[in-house]
Amino acid sequence: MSALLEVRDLRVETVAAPVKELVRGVSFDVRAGETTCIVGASGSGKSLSCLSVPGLLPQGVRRTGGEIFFRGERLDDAAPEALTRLRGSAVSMVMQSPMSCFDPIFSIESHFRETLRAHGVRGRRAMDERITAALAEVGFEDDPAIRHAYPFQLSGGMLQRTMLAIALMLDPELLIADEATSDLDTVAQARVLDLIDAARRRRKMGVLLVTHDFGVAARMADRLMVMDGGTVVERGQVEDLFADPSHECTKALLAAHGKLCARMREEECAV
Amino acid sequence: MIRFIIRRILLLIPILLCVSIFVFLILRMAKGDPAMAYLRLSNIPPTEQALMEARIDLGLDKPIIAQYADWMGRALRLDFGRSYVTGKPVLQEVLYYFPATLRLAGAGLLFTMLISIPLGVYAALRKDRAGDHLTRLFAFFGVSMPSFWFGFLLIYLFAVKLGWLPPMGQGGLAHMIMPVMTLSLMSIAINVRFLRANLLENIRSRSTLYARARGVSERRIVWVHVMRNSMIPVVTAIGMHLGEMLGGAVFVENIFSWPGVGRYAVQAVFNRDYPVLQCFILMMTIVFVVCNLMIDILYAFIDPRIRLAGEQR
Amino acid sequence: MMRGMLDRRIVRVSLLILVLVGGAAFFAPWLGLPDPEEVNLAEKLAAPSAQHLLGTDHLGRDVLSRLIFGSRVSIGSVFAILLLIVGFSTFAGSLAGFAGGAVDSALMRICDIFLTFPTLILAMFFVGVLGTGLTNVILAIFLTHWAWYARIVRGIVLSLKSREFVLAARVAGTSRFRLVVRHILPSLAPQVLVLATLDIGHMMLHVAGLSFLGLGVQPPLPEWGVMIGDARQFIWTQPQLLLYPGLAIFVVVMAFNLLGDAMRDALDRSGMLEEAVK
Repeated sequence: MSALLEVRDLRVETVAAPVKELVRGVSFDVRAGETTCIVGASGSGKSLSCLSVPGLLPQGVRRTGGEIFFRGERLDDAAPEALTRLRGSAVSMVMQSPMSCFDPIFSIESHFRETLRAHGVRGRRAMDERITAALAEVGFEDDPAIRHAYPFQLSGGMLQRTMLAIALMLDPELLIADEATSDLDTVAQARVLDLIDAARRRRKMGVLLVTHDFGVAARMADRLMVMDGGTVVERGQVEDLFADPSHECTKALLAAHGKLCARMREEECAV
Repeated sequence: MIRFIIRRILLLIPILLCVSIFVFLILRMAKGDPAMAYLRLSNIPPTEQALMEARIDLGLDKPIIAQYADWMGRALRLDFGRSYVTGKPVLQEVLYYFPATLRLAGAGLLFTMLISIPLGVYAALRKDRAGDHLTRLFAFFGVSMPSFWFGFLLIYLFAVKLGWLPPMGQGGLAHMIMPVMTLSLMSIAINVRFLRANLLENIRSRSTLYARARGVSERRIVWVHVMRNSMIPVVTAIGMHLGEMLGGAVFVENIFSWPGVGRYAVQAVFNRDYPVLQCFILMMTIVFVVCNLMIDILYAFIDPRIRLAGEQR
Repeated sequence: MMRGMLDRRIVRVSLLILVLVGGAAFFAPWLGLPDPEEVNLAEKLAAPSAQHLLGTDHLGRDVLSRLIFGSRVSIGSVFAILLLIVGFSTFAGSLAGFAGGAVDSALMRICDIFLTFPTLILAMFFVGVLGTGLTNVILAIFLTHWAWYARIVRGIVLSLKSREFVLAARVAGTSRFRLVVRHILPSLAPQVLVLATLDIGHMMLHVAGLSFLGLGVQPPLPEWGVMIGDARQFIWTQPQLLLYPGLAIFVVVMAFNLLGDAMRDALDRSGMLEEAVK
């Protein structure tokens, strides 16, 4: 059975001179119902790798090579309209720093409605049903007034859950989470991660999770990939990687995660 | 929201109070003896005796706070004294010329918005193409050109050479075109650059990225999200432009012989006509402050972060 | 950083223009020009000739000479104003930002009062109170603009105060004086410089404007704004008399603005600019 998302030999480089290759031949899979985690320090190219999938690379960077298959079809050379249709519905995202992602002068509800309208859902009742269901899924069932609030009135954790609600609203097959919990405190982080995991299991959704925190990876990943300097330096199943890291970078990242330090010392891993 | 409006309106009082104290104090520091000026005005020979009496009459022997209270009291009764030059009540004269200036400033503001907003949008959407470069060049010229010189250039071209427009005086549309263009030049240039910068910044913002990630059309992103977010600072900038208009009106009235209060005030500066000066600055500042207040209220309406401030969950 | 700026041709051209104008202004008395203030009614409104390269004005004075000597006044007064503003505002703003508390509040209230008035109107008022003349115009423009600068300086100082390198220095026990001189000023100075350069053009327009109205430089002192004022009655017959001084102002202001923009871009790229200055 082929994977939901297959990325082969992805290459991303800067547009302006001096041209720098930021992602150098990265390949990974995401299977339906499973979470693939890309872990790495800042600048390792992990965000760019995941942004390439829905075609959302920022200005100043472009994809110069590789293939992306979603549901078996080529995504990287798809027409812009096709990509726009996929974004938010089949392939949706939750991003870092939710406060800067929402439009400050639009209410939460407008964001929901706008997304629904962009994907052909019409009529007040149809929209309301979806919105209420989505909000309930992320734990807002007893706080319907959230809808009328403006982004600045909510905390980071609440906004992140709202972002997740919008992402799940149109039944995505692939959820991309780019450092979705990096700005949150531990409690909010745990809650969001739990929600993502529950949604994954319930909907048989594929999840592509990008993070710099090995603890998050430990919690969420079925497959794990470590990136450094634009390439994949190590990959495998979670347990294997934690038990026996081979690459220097992986070891460094693991060491940075305090909770695991003691365990490593026990097993006498050379650092 | 209502609380916000009321609070801002109430704030007007201390602001205007400070303004009046400031004007009063600065005037006190002026050279020249008010008693002398008073005598001159009333055609009374300035003997020692007359001067002493005049000083008592004018309350110059009282402590400064009492003098301020007197002055303030008179001002509130709309008595700003008489012009040293014409002898007529100052407020009457100022109010005679004021509407012409307000017409000019208002038209200038309107013209500024009408021209600069489309131009700014155009330049941002055509970034780095010919249209953008031309607009930015024009804006750059506008910021660097002395407006009074620009006025003369316009007069030379349209009145002297082409004879299309009247070179001076107040009147209908034809009389207003050149003065309004002259007045607005700097503000249009500043606003175009400002709006363009805002638009470009918002187009690259994270919220735009997120909207794209949700599948929102590019068209909607630009024309609804980017545009609205970029316009909000432009609204606040209107206050600044108004200040430019009020000041620039002085030049424009001078160049085009537009019978406004600016021209009148320049004469008063020459003549050291303090009563007129004080009324002039107070009137202009009151207009400026009140307009800024209205803009702040408008801004609060359109930006939910201000409107709903303090209602955190 | 400055080297990077010089790479751009437009910056080099602007600098060249400014150097030329500045040089002409500085060396004016030694350039062998006719006396700019010498009235010679016999030669009034003469066309350009070998003797008078740009002709003469309505009082027979050599136009080119008045332009060049006028630059001394136009540019010199702007520098005087800027010196006053930068000096005073940096002091006041730094004091407010650094001291905080009551001192800060008091200074900011004072700034607020000055900023409540429309700029030119306030300048006219000051000239009305102080009297006309170049010195008073310089003072008036200084008084109208210092508050804005002081606020910005205060903002920069406040944001610098909480930056790590300053905190680190304080933890290390650096004296307040050293803190200011060694740590704050080096970041503050270039930003204030950029602000000032960007503002030179704006100030020149104000000085010329007030002089044009007759409130500034008094005859027979040559100054570009005054020359425009003198020439306005000849718009129908000798329009070039209006053209030259206006063009001079335009070109110099443009050069300063270009320079200021380039400086701001260069600083921006090297990450040294605080938000307030952008």
